Amino acid sequence: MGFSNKLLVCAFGATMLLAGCGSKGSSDGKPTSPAADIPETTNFNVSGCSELNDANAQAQLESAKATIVDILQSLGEGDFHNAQQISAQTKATFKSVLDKYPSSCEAQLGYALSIVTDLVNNKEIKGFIDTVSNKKEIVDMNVNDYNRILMTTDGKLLTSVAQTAMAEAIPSLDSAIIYLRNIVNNKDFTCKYTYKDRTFELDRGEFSPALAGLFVAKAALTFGASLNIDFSDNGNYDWMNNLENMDEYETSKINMQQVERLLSKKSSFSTVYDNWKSNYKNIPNLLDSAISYVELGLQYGIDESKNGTATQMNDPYIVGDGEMSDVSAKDFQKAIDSLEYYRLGLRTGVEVTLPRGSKVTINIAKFFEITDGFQDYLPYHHINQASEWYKPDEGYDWANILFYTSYAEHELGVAIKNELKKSMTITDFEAWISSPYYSSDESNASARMCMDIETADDYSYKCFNLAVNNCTVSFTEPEQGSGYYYGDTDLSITLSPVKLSSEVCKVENGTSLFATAYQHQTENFFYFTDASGKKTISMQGLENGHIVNGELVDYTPRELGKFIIFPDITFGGVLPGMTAEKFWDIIATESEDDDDDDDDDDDDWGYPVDYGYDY
Amino acid sequence: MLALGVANIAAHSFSNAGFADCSGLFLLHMSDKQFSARQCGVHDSFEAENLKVYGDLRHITYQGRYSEKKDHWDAKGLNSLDIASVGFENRFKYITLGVDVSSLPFIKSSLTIHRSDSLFRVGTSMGRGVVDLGDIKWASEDYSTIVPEISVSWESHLFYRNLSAEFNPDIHHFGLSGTYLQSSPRNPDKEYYVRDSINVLLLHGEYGAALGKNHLQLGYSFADAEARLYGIYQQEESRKRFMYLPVEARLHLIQAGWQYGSLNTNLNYAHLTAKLNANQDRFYESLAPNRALPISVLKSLSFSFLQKLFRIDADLDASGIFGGAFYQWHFGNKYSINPSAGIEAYYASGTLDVDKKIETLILVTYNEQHEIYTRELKSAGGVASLGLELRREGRVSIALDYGIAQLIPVYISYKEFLPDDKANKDSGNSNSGQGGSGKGNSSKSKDSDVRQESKKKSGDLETEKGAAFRNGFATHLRLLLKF
Repeated sequence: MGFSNKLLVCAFGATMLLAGCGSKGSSDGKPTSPAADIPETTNFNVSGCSELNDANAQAQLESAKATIVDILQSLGEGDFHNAQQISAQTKATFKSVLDKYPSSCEAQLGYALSIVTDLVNNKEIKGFIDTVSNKKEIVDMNVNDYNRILMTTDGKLLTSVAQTAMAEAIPSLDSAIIYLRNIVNNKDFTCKYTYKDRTFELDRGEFSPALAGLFVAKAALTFGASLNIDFSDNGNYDWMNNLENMDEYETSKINMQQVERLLSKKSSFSTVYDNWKSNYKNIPNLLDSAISYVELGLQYGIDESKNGTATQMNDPYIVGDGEMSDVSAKDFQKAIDSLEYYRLGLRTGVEVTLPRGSKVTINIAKFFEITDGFQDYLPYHHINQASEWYKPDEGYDWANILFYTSYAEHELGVAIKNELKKSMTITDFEAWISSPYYSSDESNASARMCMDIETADDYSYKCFNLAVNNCTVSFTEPEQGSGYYYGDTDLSITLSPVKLSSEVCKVENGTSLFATAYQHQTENFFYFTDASGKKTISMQGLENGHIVNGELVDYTPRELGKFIIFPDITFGGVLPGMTAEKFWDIIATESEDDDDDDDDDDDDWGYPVDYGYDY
Repeated sequence: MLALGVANIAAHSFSNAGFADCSGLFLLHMSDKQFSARQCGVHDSFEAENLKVYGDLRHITYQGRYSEKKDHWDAKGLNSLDIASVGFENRFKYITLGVDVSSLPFIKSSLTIHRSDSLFRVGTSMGRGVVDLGDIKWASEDYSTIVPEISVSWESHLFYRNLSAEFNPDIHHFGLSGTYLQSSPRNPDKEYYVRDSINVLLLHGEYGAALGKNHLQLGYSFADAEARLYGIYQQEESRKRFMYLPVEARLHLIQAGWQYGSLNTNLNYAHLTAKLNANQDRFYESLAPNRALPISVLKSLSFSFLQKLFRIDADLDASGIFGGAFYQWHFGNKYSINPSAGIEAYYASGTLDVDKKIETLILVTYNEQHEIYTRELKSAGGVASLGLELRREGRVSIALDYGIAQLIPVYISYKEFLPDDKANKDSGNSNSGQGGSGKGNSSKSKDSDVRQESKKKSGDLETEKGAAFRNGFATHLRLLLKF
């Protein structure tokens, strides 16, 4: 059960990261994660390019340029401390040359790059790096560690520290953008550097994509800093620990309030902070600039290739048609054409072809207009209270045997644990009905309820033969060795009979029948509804499939369309022209299996129904 | 062809021989390495006085597969050929002329000058043609990569010339021959292809003696090959080189054979060296995957945002000794059953030294990394073969021959060695020395690369030893008809 709980937590976590939640200011009155401050707009003038005729300054630049490569390498290896050490010095060197020769484009370029690499020395970012590197590997993080990891030592939320760091990086990027834009505008400026025995000549072909990279970085940082990603419950992540460590036999203690709150339309999670709204809506413009500069760089390559390859010999790539070139001008032209298509489509929508050939139109600009959270676009649903989770709801039938996938198993477990708790302190408990593997007798008389009982200093394994009469189950412990049973003899337990609820057991013609899932006794965390709130299908129903012509089959993606209903299938115009039918067609097409995977063809098997159901 | 031969049974003013055969070699069948070849064909020849004419139709399939677990890619080679050939040989008193034409297309002509008693023969032959070496398919296991699959075709335009001389005084036989094989590079009209430029020199000398039932044969062969393989991606008028492999190889082979009646014994020694030299010039990289990408925005961006270049130095030194005996029993006369059995023992060892340099260019930064390792394979074992021939001799002779051979490795050791710390330091120093740019930090980062590499342990490479018996299996079936 622990695994599915983890899945649930992860699913909610992911939904929250993607969709965001929180409390739209009013739900609990106090925002738990304040937005980072909006960075001040950086603006200054840079002069054009002129030659540097100072041998001493030139030598300083050369050595500093070489160091930038080492900084980037250290960063690539995750060695932040080395990068921090050498980067501050490098930045200072460039700055001193630039102060003396403000129109030296080489110094401007170096300074622009060192501004970026020196972000590792920014106070907030340094703090973030230290915080993270003092924790364990984030990717291996267990939900149990959330509280420790997501809270910094001074009580701030890590999400908030990260967002502040992202916001802090933006002005530095802006300065670098200003310098680099000046360099790109000076078409003839080139810069040489030697690494090992290779000399590289950098020109607009490289500066322009680098500038594009800065715009993308700015867009990404703005996106990261703008969204409210605080999924804590008033600065506390206990609710996640509780979900992770929940005991399936004591669901009464589980509180789904925070999950409901996060997924609610009133939630502030995934909304854009008010002060960041205009920056957030500006992201398409940043992407537009990025694409334009990539195009400019490619166009420079095309223009340069018209004079042959002689002037390109030290370029990182050579444009031309021959074998002594890397890429043809025609390739670049085609790339420019597609980029231009995407650039123009940023605001009107671009058609994207998915891996299996479905086409979908996406309007990026519309996506950045959604600032009130993504909860409004989630399919209509209802979160069940924990008390509902183990009740049969859909995807089950009545069978006269207790074992396999009967819901009575859980109910018996709860009853047994409650009874045991009266006489002992249990730290861990699990109970299950084992099918009569040791006997050919397929009746309840040969079924056994077995359990692991853990107390602070002991562990016991026990089994009981079951007898059912009018939905009342009574327990008797088998003799040692009977039917391969060897239970713990130190612990003596007598269990009182348990009367099963009418939800999991009914009597027909004197026989007790048990609610039995078609496939799995899935916890019924939620169900989908239509717009009016009327239930369409539950999680249990979805996972168990349905009976068609006496065969059990899973729901197909097209069938899901009847149950999972989105309030706005165009997602606020992000998918213009999308209809529910098209949407599920795409899902169906894209989720088709590969034909050539011969061992993967069990998906279309109908399950033979031989569990003794009455249909 | 066989049917043609049967139909011609009535006219027996000349002798006719036909056979149909199938054979297969299944050398490896492991999950990550495979090689097998199969061929079936019919052959018919007839001789009338001085003229011998033959026809042959053959279907050949071979396939190989190699999976690189570490980098998650698969290379598959597959070729299926249908080759029809016809030829004739016309023997005159002092001259023999021959011409072969095959559908590859390939044409070969030969001229031999000899004495009527064959005391000496001097011959020359020449051939020219095109050999389709098949398609090599490279596929990444990760379907999300930009290039999931590239299929490269390889066609070689060959020309060869051969000179041979033979001297047969008394019971002795002396032979010498030399062959020079060359391929001329061509650019076919294909999207991805391998263009080759190959030079091979083959020399062979042999001595034989017949002493009653005893036959002795000694031979020595030498081959020196030099090949340059270019991988080309062609799109309209643009041609981009994404692979360049200059290979040099040398082979020495010494053979000794002794035959006594139905017993054949042999002993052979082979030594092969091969070298792949990384060229440091631009556009002569061993592999430049960016240039092989199909046209896309990502391809164009990749030159700025992530360029990878590989330069590979590799040295192969392998030798093997194998020898054994083969015996055929004969039961019966006109109708005979001739079972045969052979056993050969072998010992082979080889080492492959690899120095892979990976250059990475991201925007304005450049980085170099080396992967250095040595792989060593040692194996000893045997090859057991069994055969059975059913034969009917007469005016019309028929023979059915079936044989199998199984490779039985007794000992296999396949190991990888990584350079030890000392060797690493040496290579690190020499590399940063080459740079000459005097940057203190470059050697430091080099060391950290080296440290990372040496974290890997030298040791046995995974081999599926249980699969050894299934691997290395050969079989053939042949039906011969002669009248």
